[in-house]
Amino acid sequence: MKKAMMILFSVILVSSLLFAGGAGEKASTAKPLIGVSIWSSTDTLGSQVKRMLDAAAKALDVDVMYVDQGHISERVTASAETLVAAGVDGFIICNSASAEMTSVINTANRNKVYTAQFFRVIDPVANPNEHALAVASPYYVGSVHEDEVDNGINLVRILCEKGNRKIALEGWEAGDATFLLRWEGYKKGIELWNAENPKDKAVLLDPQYGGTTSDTGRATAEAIINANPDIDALIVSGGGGDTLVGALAAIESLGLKGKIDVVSTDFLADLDEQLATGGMAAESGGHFCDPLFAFMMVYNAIKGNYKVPTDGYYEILFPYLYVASSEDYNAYAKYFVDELPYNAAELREMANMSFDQLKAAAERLSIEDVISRR
Amino acid sequence: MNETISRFKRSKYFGYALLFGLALFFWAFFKILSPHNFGTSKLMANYLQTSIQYAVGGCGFYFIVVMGLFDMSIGANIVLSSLVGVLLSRQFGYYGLIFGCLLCGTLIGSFNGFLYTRLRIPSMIVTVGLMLVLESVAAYVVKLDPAGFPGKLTDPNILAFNHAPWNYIVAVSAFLLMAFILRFTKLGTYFNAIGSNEFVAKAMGINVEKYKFIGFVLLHFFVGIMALLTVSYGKGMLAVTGMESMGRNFKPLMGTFFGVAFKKYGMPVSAIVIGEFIITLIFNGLVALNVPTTINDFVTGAVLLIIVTLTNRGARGSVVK
Repeated sequence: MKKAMMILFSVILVSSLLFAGGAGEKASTAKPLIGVSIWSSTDTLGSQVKRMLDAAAKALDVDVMYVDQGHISERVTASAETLVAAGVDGFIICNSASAEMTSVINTANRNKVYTAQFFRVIDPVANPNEHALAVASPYYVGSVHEDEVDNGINLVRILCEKGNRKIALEGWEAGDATFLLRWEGYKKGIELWNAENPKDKAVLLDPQYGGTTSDTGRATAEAIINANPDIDALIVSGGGGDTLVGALAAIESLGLKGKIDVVSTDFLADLDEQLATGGMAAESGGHFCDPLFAFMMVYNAIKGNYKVPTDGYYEILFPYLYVASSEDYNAYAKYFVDELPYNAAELREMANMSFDQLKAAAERLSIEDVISRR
Repeated sequence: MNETISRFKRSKYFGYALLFGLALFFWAFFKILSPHNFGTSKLMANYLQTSIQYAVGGCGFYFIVVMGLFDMSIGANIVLSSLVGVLLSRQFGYYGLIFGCLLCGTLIGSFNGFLYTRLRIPSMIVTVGLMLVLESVAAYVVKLDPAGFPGKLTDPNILAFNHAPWNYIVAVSAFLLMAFILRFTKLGTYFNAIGSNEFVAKAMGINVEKYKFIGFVLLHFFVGIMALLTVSYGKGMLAVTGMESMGRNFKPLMGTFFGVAFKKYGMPVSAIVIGEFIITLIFNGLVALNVPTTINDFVTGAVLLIIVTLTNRGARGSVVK
C-alpha cells in the first residue's frame, strides 16, 4: 500500500510539473505574466471575460494566470497573495467589497506588482481609507467600471415604460459592492418614475438573494414569485448569468413566461431566443470587455508606458449595451459573441495607445464602433 | 393505559404524528402571518418540488452518517456528475444525461470509499482532499463542453426531470430504493450496528471496512440521482473551485439530521423527505414575510437545531460522538 501511495504521489508531482510549463517558459523568455483574480472563470460572464483576455494575451504574447475566488472576501485577498507568490508582474482583480482592497493594494505595494480593478471602483465617500491608499499607491494603476447606478435607473425605466408597476428583485450576494450600486440605481429609477408619474406609481420589493448557481437562482425566484404572485416584473440583478438561468427556469416552470417581464445585467448565450419568446424583456451587458481595458492598463504599467501617479489613479467608465429585442441581439451576437469585438491587430494597436486614447476606445465601444472597424 | 401510551410514543405512528405536527405548525404559523401568499395547495406542491432533490441527497447521506462518517465531497460530486451528464447529453441525449450523472456519482463514491478504507484516516479529511480534486476535474470537464453555453441544458427536449411528473418519479424511486435497502437487506442493520459500536460489530463478524465502502458507494449513487435532479431543476450547473461546492453539502445534510433524529421511530426515509419539506416550507414562509435571505438562513439553522435537540437529545451523562 505504501509503495502504491508513493507511486501515486510521484505521478501527481510529475503531472504538476507538466502543467507548470507556462511558468518555466516565462523564466526563459521573460514574457510578462499577468494574473486575473476573478469570481469565476467558468460561469457565463466569467467565461466571456476569459475568452477576451486570452485573446489579448495571445496577441500581446503575455502569459495569463487565473484565480477563481468566488467573491468571498478572504479568498479575494488571498487570491492577490497567491498570484504574487506565483510570480506575476501585475494582476487585475474583481473584488467583492471595497474593504478587501486595503489588503490587495498592500500586497501589490509590498511586492512591487501592478494592480488594477475591473468591474469595480473604490467609492471615496463610502471607503475613504481604501480610496486614500489607492490614490497614494505607486502600484495601484486604476479601475475600469460601469456606472452601475445609471444602469439600475435605465433598467427600471425600461420596465416601467413597458407597463410594469410591481417589480421584484433577486440579488446574488448580500453586501456585494456592485449589487449595492445597482440596487441604489433601481431605487432611484423608481423614485424618478414616481416623481414623473405621481398617479401611476411603481413599487420595488426588497431583494432576496439567489447565490450564483442556477438551482439556487431558481429556488429563490420561485420563492419570490410564490410570495408575490401579483408581480409584473423581476430584476435578476446579476451574479454571473447562472442566477438568471435559474430564475428563467422558475418562471417557465410556473407557467409565467411572457407574463413576468425579466431584466438583468448578464448577457446569456441564448438571449436571442429569450427575447423572441418573451423570456426576457431587456438586458444590459456586453461588459465582458471591461477587464480587457484593466488588463491593458496593467500591461502598459509593466512595460513602463504608463507612469502610475501617487496622487491619483487611472479610471475608465465603461458603457453598458442595452438589448431589448431580437434584432438588437442579432447585431450584438454577430460582433460580440460569434467573434470578439477586437481582433489581434486591434489588440496590439490598443496596447500602444496612450491612456487617453485607451479611455476613449473603451467609452466608444458599441456595435456601431465594431462595425466601423471591420 | 400508561404502557399503551409509552408503546405509542415509541412507534412510527408517533414519529409521523410528530413530523406532520411540525409541518402543520410551521404551515399554520406562516399562514396566519401571511395568509394570501403562502401555503395554498398549489404553492405547497411547488415547495415539495423544490425539496425533493435535497431529500434524495439526504437519503444517500444517511448511509454514512448513521455509521458516524462524514463526506465533504457531496457538493463537488453534484457539480462534477452534473457536468459529466450535461457533456454526455450533447452526444447521447437522455441516456448520456442519466447515465453520466449516475455512473460518475457512483464511481466517485467507489473512489472515496476505496481511499477512506485504504488510507485509514478520518473520512472528513479524505473527503476534503477529494472535494478539491473533484472541483478541479469539474473545471476541466466544463471546458470540454463544445456548446456555446457550457454546462447548461439548453436543449428543451432534455428537460423532463425539470418538472413533474418525471422529477417526482425519479425522487420517489430513490426513496423506495432507500427504504428497501434499509428494511429488506442486511445493509441497513449492519450500518446501524457499525454506527452503534464499530468494535462490537467487528467482533460479531461484520466486515466493517467492506460495509463502509458500500456506504460510500450508495451515498454517491444517490448523489448521482440528486445531480440529475439538480442540473435539470436549474437547467445547468456551474463549475466552482476553492471549496465553493461545500455549500451544497448542507441542505441534504439537514434532511439527514431529521432521518437520524427520527431513526428511533423506524422511519428515517419519511423523516428525511418531510424534514426537507419543512425546511423548504420555512424558507418560503420567510420569503413570504419579506424577511431577507441572511435572516432566513439564521432562522432555518436555528429551527433545525431546536428540532434535532428536542427529538434526539442524549440522556444526561451520555457520551455524544
